[in-house]
Amino acid sequence: MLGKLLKYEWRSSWRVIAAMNCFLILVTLLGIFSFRSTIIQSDNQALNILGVLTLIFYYLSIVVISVAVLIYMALRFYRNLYGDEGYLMHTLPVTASQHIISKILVAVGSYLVTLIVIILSVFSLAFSLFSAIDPTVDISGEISKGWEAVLPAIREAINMPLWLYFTLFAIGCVISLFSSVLMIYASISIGQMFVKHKVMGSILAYIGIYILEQTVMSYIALPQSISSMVNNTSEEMSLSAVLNSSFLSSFIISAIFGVGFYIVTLVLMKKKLNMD
Amino acid sequence: MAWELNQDRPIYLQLVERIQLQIVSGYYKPGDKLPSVRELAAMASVNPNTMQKAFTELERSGLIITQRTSGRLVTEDLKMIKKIQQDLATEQIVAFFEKMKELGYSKEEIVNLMQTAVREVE
Amino acid sequence: MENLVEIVGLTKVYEGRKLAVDNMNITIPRGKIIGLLGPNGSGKTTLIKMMNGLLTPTAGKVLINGFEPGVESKKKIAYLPEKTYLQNSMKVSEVVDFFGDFYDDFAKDRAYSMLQALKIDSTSKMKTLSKGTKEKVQLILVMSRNADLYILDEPIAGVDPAARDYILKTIITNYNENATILLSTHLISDIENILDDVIFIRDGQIILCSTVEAIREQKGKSVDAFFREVFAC
Repeated sequence: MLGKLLKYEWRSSWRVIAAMNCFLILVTLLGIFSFRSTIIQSDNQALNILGVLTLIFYYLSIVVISVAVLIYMALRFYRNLYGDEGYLMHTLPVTASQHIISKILVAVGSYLVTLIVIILSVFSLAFSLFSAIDPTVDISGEISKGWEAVLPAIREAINMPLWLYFTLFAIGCVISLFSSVLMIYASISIGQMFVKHKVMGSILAYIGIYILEQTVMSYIALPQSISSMVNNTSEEMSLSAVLNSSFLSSFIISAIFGVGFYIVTLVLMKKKLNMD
Repeated sequence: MAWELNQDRPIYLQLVERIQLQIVSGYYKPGDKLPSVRELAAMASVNPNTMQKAFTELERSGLIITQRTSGRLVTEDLKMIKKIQQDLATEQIVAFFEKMKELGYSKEEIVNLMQTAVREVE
Repeated sequence: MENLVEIVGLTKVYEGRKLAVDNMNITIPRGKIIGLLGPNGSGKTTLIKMMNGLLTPTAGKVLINGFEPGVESKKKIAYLPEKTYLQNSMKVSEVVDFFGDFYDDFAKDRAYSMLQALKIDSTSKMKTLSKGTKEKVQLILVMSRNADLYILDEPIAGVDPAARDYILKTIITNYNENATILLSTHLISDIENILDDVIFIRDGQIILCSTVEAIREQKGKSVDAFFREVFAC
């Protein structure tokens, strides 16, 4: 059943996600093209301004698209499970947890795809920028040189093999992503508890939860970073403080909150469902 | 099209009458196999249980015979069919006389009117 | 087989609002076509939503085949809500596949033959269909299931008279002694001939449970006329 839900959820949403990513690709190409032309004629005032504008537009596009993916996923959750389509979904022989899991997997998956496209886009834009400025520069060579310079400092700071750190970091990011989406789902579910103004209720719930989570994060993460900074005044140690404590503890807090959000969403959907 | 059924009388009674009529008029001949309960219910646009009740009534009176292998058959008892035909006809006649009396005609006047009407029909 | 549906002490109170369903007790056997009749706001829809697990009761229980509303009961219930609940972006054929995917008892061939009979193009998208046609599609999907309990909320209200006849005939021909059909409607005179029993509901309470024949025999009038009497404003 879960597989079937995943299939249909993906089928319903892939077109919008693909469109958003195509837009990103288009904007990237636009950026590359404008860089090439502005840098070659760097004395032309108009083209310079165009180049800067393109850059701003590019940056805005990335921000807008990454938010848009989340908003679209939130809309799908709301419409499919709490709108008229909910009459179909909630009468299928499927559990509430299967509904939530299918939605979150597709949401996170879509976001990750978009994230990868964004990263590739930034890299290709930077690459084309550097090669446009100085075609003789061996970019990959420069990158590996810079990387080798920084590596030993990082290695010392983090006390573990590099690959392990990056893996944990990646896992932590994915956990945060799950947690963020689940926070949206929980807010929508809480909003449904209001008799009138359900959307307003969801927004208020979201703001409330956000403030709560941030408060907890700062209470737990901050003392850690401060204490490690206070104890170790050398440069390498403060690097260690940054790399170690804040990321790891914030990921753990995200995970705990994420589980909480899942439970809230599940319980409200199972026990307090009130379809209009 | 659904059979025309009266709104205020029990449906199953009207179904019994309707099927009796169909048998008596020769639409279903003696020994003919009747459609299934569900088919007839769909034709008449009535509840299958109600049609079943009508059939049970008809079986009770002997007009319909249920055989395990061949289904529901019209009886081959011609006398019974004839009797029912006559009973129904008598009902119609009695009702006709009542109506004519309401209009104010006497018995002789009614007979004269009938003879004239029959001649015109031929 | 025991009763298909057992409702005990079922109550629903909306926050601050009135009592929508008031301590209802009903048992519904198999093999019947039952009309759920009552004016707007009488609690019919609330009752139906609770049977489908779309609403949680304030008190009491609903048992379908011995199960509380959940995965097991939903496998055996075919529900037709009053609203359009299918995804507008899907084609009719995709919706048929969807139902076939999630319900083991769904008969695709029956669905397609009914779509053909009503001249509905299965390659068209739901959003291009008229409201009446959408309702016909939804009804066909429900009638193509081999469920134990069919709950139809206003199945013929938005449909033209010719299609209504077809729909009523479909309900009759799909009838089997193991299943029960619960019809909630305002159009009593159109459907009373196909009903076994009727349940009158007012203000969240059941005020009458009877067979159609009994009403006609004892009251000498149709259910429609009797209803108007009982619920006269």
